[in-house]
Amino acid sequence: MTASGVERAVTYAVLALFSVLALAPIAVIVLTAMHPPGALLTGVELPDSLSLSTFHSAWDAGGFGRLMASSLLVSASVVALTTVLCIPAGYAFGTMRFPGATPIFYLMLAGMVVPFESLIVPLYYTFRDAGLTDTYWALILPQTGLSISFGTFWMRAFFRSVPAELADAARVDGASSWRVLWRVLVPIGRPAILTMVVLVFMWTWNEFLLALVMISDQAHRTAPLGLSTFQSRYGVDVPSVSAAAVLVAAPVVLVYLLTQRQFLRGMLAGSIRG
Amino acid sequence: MMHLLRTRLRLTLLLLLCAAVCGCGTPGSSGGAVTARSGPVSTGFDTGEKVSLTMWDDETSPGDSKAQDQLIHEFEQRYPNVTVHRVVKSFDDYMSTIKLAASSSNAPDVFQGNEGYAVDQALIKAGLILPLDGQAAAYGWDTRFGNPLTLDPLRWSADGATWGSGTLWGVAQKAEVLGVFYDKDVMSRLGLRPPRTFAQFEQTLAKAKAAGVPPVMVGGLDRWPLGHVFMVLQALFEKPSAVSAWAFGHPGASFDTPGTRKAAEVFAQWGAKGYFENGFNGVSQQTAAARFAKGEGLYFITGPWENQTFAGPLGNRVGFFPMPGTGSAPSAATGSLSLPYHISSRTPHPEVAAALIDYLTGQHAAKLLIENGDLPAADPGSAALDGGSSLAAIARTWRQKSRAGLLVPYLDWATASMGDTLFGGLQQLSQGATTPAQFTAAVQKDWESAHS
Amino acid sequence: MFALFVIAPMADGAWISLFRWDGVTSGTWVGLGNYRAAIEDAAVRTAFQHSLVLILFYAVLPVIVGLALTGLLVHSRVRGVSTVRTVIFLPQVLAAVVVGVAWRWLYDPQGPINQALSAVGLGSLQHSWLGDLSTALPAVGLIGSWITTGLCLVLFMAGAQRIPPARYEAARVDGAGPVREFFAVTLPGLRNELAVALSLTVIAALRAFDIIYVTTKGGPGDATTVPSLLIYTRAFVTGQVGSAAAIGAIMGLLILTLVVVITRLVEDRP
Repeated sequence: MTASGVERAVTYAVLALFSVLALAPIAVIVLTAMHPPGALLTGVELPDSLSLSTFHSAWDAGGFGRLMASSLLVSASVVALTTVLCIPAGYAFGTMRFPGATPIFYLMLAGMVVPFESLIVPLYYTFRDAGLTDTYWALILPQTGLSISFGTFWMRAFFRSVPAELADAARVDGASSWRVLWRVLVPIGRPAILTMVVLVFMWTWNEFLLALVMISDQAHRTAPLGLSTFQSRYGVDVPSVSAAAVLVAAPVVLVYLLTQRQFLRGMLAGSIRG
Repeated sequence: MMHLLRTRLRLTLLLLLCAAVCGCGTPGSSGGAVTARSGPVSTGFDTGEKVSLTMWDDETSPGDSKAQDQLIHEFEQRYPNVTVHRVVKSFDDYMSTIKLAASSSNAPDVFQGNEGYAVDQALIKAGLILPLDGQAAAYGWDTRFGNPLTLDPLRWSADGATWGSGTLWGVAQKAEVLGVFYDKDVMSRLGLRPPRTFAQFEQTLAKAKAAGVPPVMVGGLDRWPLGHVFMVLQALFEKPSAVSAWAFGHPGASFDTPGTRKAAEVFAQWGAKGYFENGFNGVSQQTAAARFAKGEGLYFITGPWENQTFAGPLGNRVGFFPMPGTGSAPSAATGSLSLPYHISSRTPHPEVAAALIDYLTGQHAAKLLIENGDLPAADPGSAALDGGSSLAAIARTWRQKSRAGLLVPYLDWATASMGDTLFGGLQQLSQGATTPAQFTAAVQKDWESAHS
Repeated sequence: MFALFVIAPMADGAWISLFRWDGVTSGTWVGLGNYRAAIEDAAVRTAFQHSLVLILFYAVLPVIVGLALTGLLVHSRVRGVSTVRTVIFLPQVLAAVVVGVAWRWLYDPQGPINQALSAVGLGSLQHSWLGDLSTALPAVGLIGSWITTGLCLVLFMAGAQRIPPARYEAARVDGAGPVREFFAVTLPGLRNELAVALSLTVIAALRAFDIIYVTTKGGPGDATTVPSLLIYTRAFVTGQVGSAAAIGAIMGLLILTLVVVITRLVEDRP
């Protein structure tokens, strides 16, 4: 074997090792979920037959159809609002100079570092007084607020990375700032925007504590909240809980896998000059 | 760097400004006082008016949850003008949200609290729940639950300052008493018989351990399960009156006493001798219960709420006994009514709420709970409680201990933070990381800082 | 929008932190008393120490692994690199509740990890991973490593692709081996990515709440108690909302400072 052959083999081995480390926990849960409901397991056991019946029964027992619909509605709204608000905000911070830009930007940054757990009690009181607890607004508005802080940070980095000549060229042709933004910059920024969309979708979908505090009504509960209730109700039933966990994770995993090529490329575009 | 510093300074100033502009007053000051409804309370209400009630509970186990749904359905049939919306959350989720929900303008009309300083006292002090003395007299709740002493943990002074006597603030659906579940097959396989004294009990632990059977199954990862094991021991070695005084926060009570230290020593020894299942602090209680229900252990120390988890798969193979005492006198046991149902002071329909609570805690509900393998607070005199089942044994234990005044309260009631202090302390004690004396001193320190 | 739902609650939080308040009854003004109490509180200090340990697992270890992998992969023309990148990033997208369900089971004394150990003849290393006072914090930390390693790798690989090949050629002309090349070319070329990765992972470590809440709830004893968990417990369970807000404010400032320091130290100035 040549030297580069050895190097290749080592590289493959390392890659394989880390892939296995990353995937094994997920594989174990999926495998566990393939056991019949109620089965008691010791370690990893191969099920007698690969069956999806546990997913089916967990879906029904946990009412995940409705929970997923709630989660989808909330996540989609947050993503839409964040995108619409952050692109112009990032553009402004990234390319224009206006009085107070720096302090306002750092204030936005503060939104990313303050522990969310300590914001929830004041938030609850605000929403309670507005009569908005137990509505989708109680989830959509605060999460949009938080996402804006990240989204602006992210889009600002992107707009700063775009060569100024591009915008200048368009402006020479007589385009307004607004037009430059939507016709010239947004199209090149698709990967960065997509990445932001996917990240915000993921975070909103996965959020638990805010939903726990704001939502008590069954009809507005989100999927992670439903999983928590499911776990306490059927906790002795490891296969069912695993199946429910897989179900709750499936949409984000799907979105991630479908968009991963662009998403990972965008990670870079957005973070170059963080 | 300087530039950044300045930015941060400005940021701080801006924040302060913001706070000033928001002009927040004293937080929580909007909380309303109890609208005193004086005069006699009757059991009837207007059955023509359309009424919609929201009720919160934490009955997540499949059997109990189904029973609850059925009871509500029956109640709605009986009073067609009433609709009840039920909200269910797991215990942890429930306890972290109930106070916030109760303070909201659309607070649930009927909801469960929790005995002690963390929840019930806060609810009373904030004027969020109604006193129920009138309803208790009208519906006969005073006498429904056996020994009237069992209602003491639901009584507080009118201002919520002192606990254990005074006004009644809630009633409960179920009864709880901690004891020992055992697997009869495992026991006979080991050549053992149910112990009659504590010394015999410890011998059975040693024999099981020697035979490679986990003596006591317990899920320490969830923290509180170890607390229940310890409480069962403390009830043997400490005077019941001393345990009660301490849990109720009476002045001068102490955890740092010879009896409690002795219980802590026994607990630590069990840990050191490996009487708890292998790796118990990394096992969830649900996993531990599932393994016991599969026949993997000899004992499981807990209360009636797990009965169905075991009796479902094991049937008559599972038995129950109260922890046998150290002497000839009958021993005390930890037990109380379950989480109390309260009526919100914000509800426009307190009479309907009271009727609902009455239905949920009455004789009919009790029979339904028994069918689901759980122990009701009201004693329906059901034949199902006379046989040789584990549930019958639990019911006998409850009757004996409550009638004889031998029930002691849960220790985590003692202060708002006692759950963390006590259960975390036991996780350490069980691994030999602290000594029994350090443990009792640390717990007492928490108690003193709360009750000074 | 942002002002309403982030700044206003922050200001509210700062205001609340000046009261002793149980969340339902009327609060009592204590000025900076909550801050003083938090600084003197041994539980708070322990929690912050645990945060430092978590930084090792959430930030340092993943960054080292990410850099090492990048160094290894930067020139190799093996196939499947992008698939591996996708796979290693996957844990990042899962909800904490899901991660909790998975890892509680993996770490169970009779669970897959112990089973694997005994299968390869290391039965003596079997452990009650989350239950043992000495292993609980590292065990929780490793879940964090599992989550953040993918992020680091993705950032570094992307950054490495942007390093001009001429620099590598120059290094090779100077006779640099792979190791020296890594330190002389790759690492300096990744300064910006390093700053971003460290900032994000350090924030993740300090704010770690979900993973601990769904696995150990801070136990055994206080072995895995972290500041966010204290904030949660005090705000929602024990009725010390003012104290929770004070710890939250301290934590926010600490994170902000750390992030600024990291950015200044690592990022090269244009």
